[in-house]
Amino acid sequence: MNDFAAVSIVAAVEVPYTRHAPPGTSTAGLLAQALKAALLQAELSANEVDGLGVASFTLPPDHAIDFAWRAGLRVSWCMDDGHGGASGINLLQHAARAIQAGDANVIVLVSGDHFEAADFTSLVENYNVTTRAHLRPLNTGGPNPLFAMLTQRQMRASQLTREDYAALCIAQREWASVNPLAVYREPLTLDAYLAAPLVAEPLCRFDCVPVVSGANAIVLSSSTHRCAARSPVRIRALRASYNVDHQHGDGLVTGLAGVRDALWRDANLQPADMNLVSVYDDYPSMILAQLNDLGFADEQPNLHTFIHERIASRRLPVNTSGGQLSAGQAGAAAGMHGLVEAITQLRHEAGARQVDDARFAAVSGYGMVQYRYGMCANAVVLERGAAQ
Amino acid sequence: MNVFACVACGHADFPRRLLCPSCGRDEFVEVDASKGSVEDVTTLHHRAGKAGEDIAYIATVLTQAGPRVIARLERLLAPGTVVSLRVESDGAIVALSD
Repeated sequence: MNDFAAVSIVAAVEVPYTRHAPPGTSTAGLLAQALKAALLQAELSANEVDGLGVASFTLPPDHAIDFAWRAGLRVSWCMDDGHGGASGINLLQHAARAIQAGDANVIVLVSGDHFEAADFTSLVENYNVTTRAHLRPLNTGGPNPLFAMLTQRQMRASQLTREDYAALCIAQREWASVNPLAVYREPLTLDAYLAAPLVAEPLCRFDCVPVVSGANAIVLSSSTHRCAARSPVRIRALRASYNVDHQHGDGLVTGLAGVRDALWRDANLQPADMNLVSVYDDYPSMILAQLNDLGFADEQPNLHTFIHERIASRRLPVNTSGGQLSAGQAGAAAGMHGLVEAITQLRHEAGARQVDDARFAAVSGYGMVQYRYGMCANAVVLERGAAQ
Repeated sequence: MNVFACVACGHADFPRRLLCPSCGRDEFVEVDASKGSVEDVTTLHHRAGKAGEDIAYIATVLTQAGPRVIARLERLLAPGTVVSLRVESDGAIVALSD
């Protein structure tokens, strides 16, 4: 049952991210703004919604059903998702299947977070039992040292330099410069990158996502619903792979490597058919790992050439919003950010950063660091649908 | 410093699992892992939400028992350095060069 034809994505929105949210900002309030904006875009009323999925680190003690009540929603399908950077595609997978199965007809997926300083520290120190027991006592301050060491391994394995990672950050900042919703839009130069304070060697400030407050939402419906007539986006294929190596590897290969053949076979498409890619960019090394696993670098002699000839050149548009590295990481919304950008591009509503004639997009999610690197990876291939 | 070996199949892992990822059994014995070699080291300069520099050295250490652990170094050590591992009272794994 890999055919998603019965399902359409009919809205994708972002509540503007802010580095320093105004007093009175709350996670539930941001999620409500995302819900409202998504329904407005889809030309739906709240009483037409019968499914809700929520991803948020800071919504507790509330859960999805509490948010549904506070937002006035009556639902027959309701789901909390705690998969961080993989939550957007994970929610999409389950929501699409719910619509296929007839459990719901119109589903809204919301994600977002507002962190107070103490909230963020608490999150990174208590991310899971392993982190609390074995990483918190080291005072790592979150996963930066883990991905610094992963980046070192990738540099050794692929003969990459800090200048190569800089090229990824600079390319995304160029996209961000024409995205009015990106938090950081000023141009980034190689000199500025190399002069930036080091966080965990070799990672500098520009390799680490800025924490922001914000929210995203998407809406799915059955393809026969009236809201699917205007500008639908279709799911060609979706695959996930979690705990593929039980943390016994080097973290340079994600679960995507094992599902890519099935993904492209289901989609009946190839990486070369994609007009753009949104890839989860918690760190530049993970951009390369996921793109490599999905097959986007297969025709390239090495990752250095891939970075400069394909990504920096924009022959392959990657993270056209600026990605988390420039647009910001709004907690669990990071797992939906790239999805929203790809949908916006496929609907030809991306303004100055619009990729010409965008018809196909690939989006990947990654995350949930267990002990040494992320446990989760998933990917979806999307297609611009025909208006009716 | 100990890691955990499955009684049934001998698979060694760290941190301890609920069920063995290799054979699914739930009995483990502790295995000495007090020696290892440094694989990667990062100098940590800044932590999110904390002002100012507070240098620490964080390493991936391959234990002689098999599993890799994340440890704090007392000083910067090169990859390949043989180290002794101990667990402090707060749970921190510390690696010391011999």
